[in-house]
Amino acid sequence: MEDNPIFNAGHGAVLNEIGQVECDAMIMDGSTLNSGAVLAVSQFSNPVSLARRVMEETPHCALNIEGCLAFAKKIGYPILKDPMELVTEQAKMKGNAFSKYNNAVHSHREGRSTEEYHDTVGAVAMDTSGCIACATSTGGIPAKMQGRIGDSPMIGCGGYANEYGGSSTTGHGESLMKITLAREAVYNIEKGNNAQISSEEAVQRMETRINGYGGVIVIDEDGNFGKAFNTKRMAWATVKDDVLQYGLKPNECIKVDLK
Amino acid sequence: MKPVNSNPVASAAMKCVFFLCSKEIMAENPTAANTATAPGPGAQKGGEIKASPRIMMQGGAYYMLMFHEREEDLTKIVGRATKQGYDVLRKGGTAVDAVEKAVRILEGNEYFNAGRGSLLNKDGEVECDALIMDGSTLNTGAVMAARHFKNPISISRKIMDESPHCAFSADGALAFAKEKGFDKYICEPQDLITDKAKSVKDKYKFGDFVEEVFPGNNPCEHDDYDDNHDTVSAVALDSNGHFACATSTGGIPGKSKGRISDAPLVGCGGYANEFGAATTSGHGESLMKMTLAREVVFNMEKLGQDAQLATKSAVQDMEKRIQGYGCAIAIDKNGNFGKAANSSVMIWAQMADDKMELGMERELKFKYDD
Repeated sequence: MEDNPIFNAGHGAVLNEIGQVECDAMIMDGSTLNSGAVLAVSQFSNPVSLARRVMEETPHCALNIEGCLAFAKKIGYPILKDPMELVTEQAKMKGNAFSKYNNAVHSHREGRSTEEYHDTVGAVAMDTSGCIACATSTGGIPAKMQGRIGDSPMIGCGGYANEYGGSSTTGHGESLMKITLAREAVYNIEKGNNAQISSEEAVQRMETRINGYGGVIVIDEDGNFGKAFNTKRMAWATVKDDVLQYGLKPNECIKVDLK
Repeated sequence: MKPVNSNPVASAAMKCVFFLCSKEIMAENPTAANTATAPGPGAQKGGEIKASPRIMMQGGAYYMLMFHEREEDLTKIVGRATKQGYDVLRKGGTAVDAVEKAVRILEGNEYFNAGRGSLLNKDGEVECDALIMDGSTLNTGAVMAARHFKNPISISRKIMDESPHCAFSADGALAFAKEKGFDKYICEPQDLITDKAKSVKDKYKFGDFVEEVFPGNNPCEHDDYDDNHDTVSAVALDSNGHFACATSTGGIPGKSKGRISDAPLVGCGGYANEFGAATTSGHGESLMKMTLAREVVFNMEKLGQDAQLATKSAVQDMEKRIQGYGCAIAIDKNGNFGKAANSSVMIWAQMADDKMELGMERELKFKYDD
């Protein structure tokens, strides 16, 4: 999704108030709790892949732009010569529409995000050995201030994975951070709820406590999927046992047998 | 992993109790007892909060020294900062005001690893992380790897109060400060670097440091590490029943440039809501993996644990799960203080009802059942 200009991550990510792309991403391995994150970087096509290298090849969990550039040089990770390579014409046009951050947040809440711009992308997976991992990548909210860090690269806010479950969040980053939404969803699983109830309760709490808007996807230790959002739409898809399911609006679910 | 000391309690805890019932304090705030009983907005959701205003601080989860008289001096500095924060509360200030004030004092003291005098990264620079959080609104502000602020906690406060965002990178925070005209907050990067920090720079390599300091080796074997502290932080409860927390750090010495620690990450370095407040210190990467501060507050809010049990079980979990080392402090909605550490040392101070307790605890090792 980072490579696809339609999504708000990597290529085609939304622009900040000075017309640049600044990406946040994180990845977390639930079996070891190892994690890696990159914050406000603009020279990388695939921020989540760099986040993985940070996780696996540094003693640290999170690096900012200067840290990432030095690290990428050291390991020979491809650095874009011109950060504007990530800026698409479409993003520029949309940038004009969201020249004010508050407009973007308002629009987000109204659920227009999936029509006019896309938000953070994320994934949660369980492998054959039962280990769970999550990854999140975003260009943030349109017209954000330069250097703004969203929830996405923060462990527990943008994503969290441990032996009980994994989650990845999207929405108004500042709200997700305040409620540590990803950790909240996994905590609910730890306390015995299934993935669906855990995600619903976490989003509900965010709405009642701070009137925050967003969504979360979850996998629990039993392999159940959970998803919840209080925006008008959230594009999601799941695959398990060769069955693909996906949807966009609340209660929408399309099933496809992949066999 | 090296075996931990089997002593379940502090093997050498130094604890002093100070009674600070000065007339000055009493005169300043004759109504404290009354205001404390009025439940604030936070109390409506977290349950009625009857505790009087209080504050707790810690000055670092590791501190390697030869244990001469200086440890008392350092503990006293944390005590004085705590007293200043408490005075803010007694004068009717908010918990946010109090934690900001208290952390500012330690940022300004070159013995502590925050603000000016922070330990240097691999490139010989100071890069500061800080976070502040208002538990009543859940508003937060954070700055990451900042090089231009003597008081990272105060620019975090400004980010919380006056920007639509919660966190800024170094450049973003600088642009924000300039745009808003906060010139008095801005300094040159070299203003943060002390001779003291320069003089010990070459001793520290991140990997060696973490390996040697956080696995809880006998501190006396490591005289080399006699000048450093860790993240400083504060948690407070004000007379309206609102919680707040603040953290500030220069990070682990010898870190890579641009490394972000747990301290500015909501839920990792600190968390506050209507059920309590917690902050952490120690090996940042471990604290992040556990979202340790959030874990402590979860323990209080969802399991009904008091602050002491909440901090202790969270730190134990971290040790069991990832052999992580560090400490946590907390206040719960009943006004209990909690502190737990499995790092070699923790300097702490707490103040409530005009009474201060402070101390430095060493080798607070837990014995957990496998």
